[in-house]
Amino acid sequence: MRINKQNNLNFSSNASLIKNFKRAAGEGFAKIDDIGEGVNITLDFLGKAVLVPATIMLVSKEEKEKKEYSALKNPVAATLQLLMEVPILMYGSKLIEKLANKGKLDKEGSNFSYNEKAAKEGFTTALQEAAKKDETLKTKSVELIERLNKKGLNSNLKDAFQDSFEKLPEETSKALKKSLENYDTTHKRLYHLQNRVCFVAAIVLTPLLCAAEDFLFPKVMKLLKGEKTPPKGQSRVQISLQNFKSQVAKGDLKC
Amino acid sequence: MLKIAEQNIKNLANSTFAKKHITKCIENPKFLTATLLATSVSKDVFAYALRVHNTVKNKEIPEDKKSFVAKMDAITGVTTAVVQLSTGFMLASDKVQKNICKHLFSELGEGTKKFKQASKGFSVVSTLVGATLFAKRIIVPLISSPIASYLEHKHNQKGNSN
Repeated sequence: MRINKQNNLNFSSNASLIKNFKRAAGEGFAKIDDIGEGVNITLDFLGKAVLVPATIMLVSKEEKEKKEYSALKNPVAATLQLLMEVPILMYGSKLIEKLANKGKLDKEGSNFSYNEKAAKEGFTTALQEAAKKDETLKTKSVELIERLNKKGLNSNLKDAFQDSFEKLPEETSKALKKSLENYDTTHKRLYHLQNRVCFVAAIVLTPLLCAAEDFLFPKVMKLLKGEKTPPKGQSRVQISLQNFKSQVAKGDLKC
Repeated sequence: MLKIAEQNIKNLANSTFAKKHITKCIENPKFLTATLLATSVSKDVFAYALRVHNTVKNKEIPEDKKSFVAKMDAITGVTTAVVQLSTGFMLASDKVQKNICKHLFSELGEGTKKFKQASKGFSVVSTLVGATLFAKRIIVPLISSPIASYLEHKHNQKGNSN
């Protein structure tokens, strides 16, 4: 009887744990808003810096020293790659945002705008105008605009704005929702444009990035392991056929 | 220089293709997933193509090794692309996503706004994790290794007969 009681308790605590996990997972994934090149770069880095060394250490049957060297090589290459790709994405995105917010990316006569600043101003002005006539909205809008200025627009904040429009007269609510939708669409347009332009930039700069990686990689490895720097032009191409096979198998080859 | 870049970005941003593409990325999460998968794979394919080109042009590599190394790079590049794309599209398929989301987000209540948002986020993340982490870093090396052995064996046989 005592054992049954204990089992029932364990079962119910496990069930509630799973329930909580599912709820947390759901809430977490629902919060994911802007997914772009940043996620791709992060996953590529994690794969090379964590998954490959872990696989080598667990699966490879080579000698310990060789295994450790291979496991170290990948995080170093991944870090170098990350240090070169992140600035392209960061500064490229900032440049495009600057151009877009000055209206330099919008074509005259076209209603397809990338000017997020103007869209945000249009929405906040409309909200503040509406707030003058409604006390509840007045307090709420100050709080929400503060959140908007701090964290930028996301799906949670968009929901909070929309909830605050619910009790307003139909016409005002409709106009504010339209203005918010316009702001959200412009924000997303700019985000996707930044991602695609930075992708094109990364492709165009690939030869340069590979050359920089080939130049820096032996130097960093030398610093870390006291390894002798290979002669110029021999970093990858002069490997033996056997060596090549094992490098392919571990995903060790670099540009 | 900055003026030229600005003009090129403006032209690209206002091209019919870019406008359609961006609108589709906003409205259709499946299209966004496919786009991110394609950008990830194309970076790899471009890097492998560059390797093949550099190997072929490199005068320091002996001719007999050159074609083997180039062939290996090309095969690994193609394997990477095919495995990543097939894993990605398999994971992104409606059937797989519906099944996982139904069980994983059951607490949110199927059909609710939160459930749809969570499913959308999960679809993109799971596809990219599956393709760029597991397919690229675990499945590709498993496939590339036997291909490398086979080609090496063939290459050695050819070398011996010569």
